[in-house]
Amino acid sequence: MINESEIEKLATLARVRISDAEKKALAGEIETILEYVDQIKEAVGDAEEVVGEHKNVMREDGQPHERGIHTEAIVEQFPKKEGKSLSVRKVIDQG
Amino acid sequence: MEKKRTIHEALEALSAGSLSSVSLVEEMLEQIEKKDEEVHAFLEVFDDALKQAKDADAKRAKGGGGALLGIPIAIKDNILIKGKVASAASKMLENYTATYDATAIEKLKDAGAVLIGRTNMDEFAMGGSTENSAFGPTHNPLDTSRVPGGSSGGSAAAVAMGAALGALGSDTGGSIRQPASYCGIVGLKPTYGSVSRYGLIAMGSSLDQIGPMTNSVADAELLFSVIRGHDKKDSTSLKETAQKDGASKKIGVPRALLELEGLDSVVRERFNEGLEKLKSAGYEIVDVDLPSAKYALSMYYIIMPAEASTNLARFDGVRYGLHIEGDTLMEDYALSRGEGFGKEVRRRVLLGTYVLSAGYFDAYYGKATALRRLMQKEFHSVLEAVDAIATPTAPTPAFKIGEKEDPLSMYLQDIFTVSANLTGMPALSVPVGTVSEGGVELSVGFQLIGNHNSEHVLFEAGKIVEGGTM
Repeated sequence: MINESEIEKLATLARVRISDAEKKALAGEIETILEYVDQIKEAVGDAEEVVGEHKNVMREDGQPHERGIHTEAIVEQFPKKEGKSLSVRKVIDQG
Repeated sequence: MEKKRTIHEALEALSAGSLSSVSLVEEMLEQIEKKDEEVHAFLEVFDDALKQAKDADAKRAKGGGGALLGIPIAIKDNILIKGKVASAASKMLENYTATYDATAIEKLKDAGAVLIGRTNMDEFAMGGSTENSAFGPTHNPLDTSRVPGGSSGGSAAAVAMGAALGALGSDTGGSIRQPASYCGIVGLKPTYGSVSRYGLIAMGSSLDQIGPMTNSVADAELLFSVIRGHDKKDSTSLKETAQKDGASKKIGVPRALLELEGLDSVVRERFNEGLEKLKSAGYEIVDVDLPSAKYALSMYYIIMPAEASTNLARFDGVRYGLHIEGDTLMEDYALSRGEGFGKEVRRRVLLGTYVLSAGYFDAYYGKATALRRLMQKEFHSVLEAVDAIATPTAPTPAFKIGEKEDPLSMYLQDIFTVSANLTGMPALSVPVGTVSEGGVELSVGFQLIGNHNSEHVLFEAGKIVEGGTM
C-alpha cells in the first residue's frame, strides 16, 4: 500500500512540492496504477538483450564551434543574471 | 467526412501555377480564424507564416524547388524552432525560446515548408486527450464536445480542421496514432531511430519518435521521406534506414489481444471491414500469436515514467524555465517544479521515482525491460512470416472532454499502440470509416505495425485501407 508519507518521500526525492490534498489523491492513483502494472509479475520468461544498432556517438576532440556564438541566446534564458553570468543561490555558509 | 486538400494536390496546383503558397496559407489562416477559438489547436500562429509563403512563391518563380515548397505544416509544441517559443504546453517552459532548430525542423525548412504555428499538446506529451495542456484543452474538430486524442491532439486537430496540410507530432506510446485515429487523419510513428530526436523535448528517450500527421497515406510517405535520415546529433539515430520489402502479402491479426476487454464493438466492425479490403486486394489474413503483448501496457507504464522522471530532472529552474524563489536551494527546486509541472506530469515523475527506487527496481524496471526484450523477439519472429500486424488504433472512438477522470482509464486507450514503441517498430494509423454517435460521425483508425525500416510496406497496405473511406 502506498500511503501519504511515502508520497511525501517520493516528492522529496523528485524535488517536487506537492500539496497535502494532492498527496492523498496521488496515493490512491499511484496505488491503482501499480496494481495494474503488477500484472508483469505473473509473466514468465526473459530474452537475451538484442545487440542493437544504436551505439554511443562521440565527437572529435577539439572546438565544436566558435567560442561565444551561442552565449547570447543562452544567457537570454537565464531566470536570474548579472551581466553575462547566471546568478545562483549561495550554497556555502561562511564561518 | 469532408474531403481535405492533400499535400500532393496542393503541390500539383502550385507547380501548375493555379495556386500560390500565399493564397494557400491565407486559406489556412481563414480556417484558424473561423474555427480555432472553439477548437484551440494552436498555441501560437506564427506571424511570419505569410512571409514564409511569399518567400516560397518567390523561390518557385525563380525555378527553385523543394519537396514541400510552399506547403503549410503545423508543429507540435515540443519540437524546437529557433527563435520561437517551445513550451511543451507547460508552465515550466511558457517563456522558453528555442535557441536552435530541431533536425526535423531544419529538414522541413530545407524542403521549403511554411511553418504555420505551434500546436497544443498534453504537457510534456503526457496524456491521451490534450486535456493536460497547461493552456487549456484542444477540442476535436469532428465534435467539439470530444477530445482530439493526444498527446499530439493540437497537430491532429489542425490538420483535420484544414488549418495545415500536414503536421509533425511525437509518439512515445501512441501520441501520433491515437489522435490521428480520433480526428480522422493519417499518422505514422516511424521506426525508432529513423527520424532524429535532436531538438525534441524528451519524454521517454527509448520510446520517443517524431512523425508525420496528414490527410492521406501518400502525404505521410512524402513528409516522412523529408524528415528521416541519419543524424550524428542523435546518438540513437540509425545509420541505415533503407526500406525493406514485404514479401509474404500476409497480414497478421493478434486475435487474443483483440479479446481483451474494452474494445468497442463498432470499432471491431470497422476494423474487420479494413481487413476485408486488404483481403480483396490480395492479402492473406492470418492469426498470429504475441503472448507477451498483453503485458505491453504494464511494461510501458513502468518504463515510460522511469525515463520521463529522469529526463525531467533537468528542469530545475536554474538555467532556464520557470524559477520560483524559496528560502533554501532545496525549496527553489521543489517550488519551481511543483508549480511548473501540471498534475499528470507530477504524477508520472513520482511514479517513475517509485519504480526506480532501490527496493522496487528489480520488481518493476528490471522485470519490465526483460519482458520488453521478450516481446521484441516475439514481434520480430511474427514479422518474418507476415508483412504487418493489424489492430485497431484505439479501443474506442474519441471520448467526451472530462469523461476520463481517473488516470488508469485514460492509460488504457494506449493498449494497442504502446507495443510499437516498446519494440521500436514503425506503425501507421489510417482512417477506416466512421461511427455515428449522437448525429456526429466519429472516426475510427486502423493500425498497421511493421518490421524495422519497413514503412513502405505499411504505406502500401495503408493505401488500400484508406481507399474509399474519405
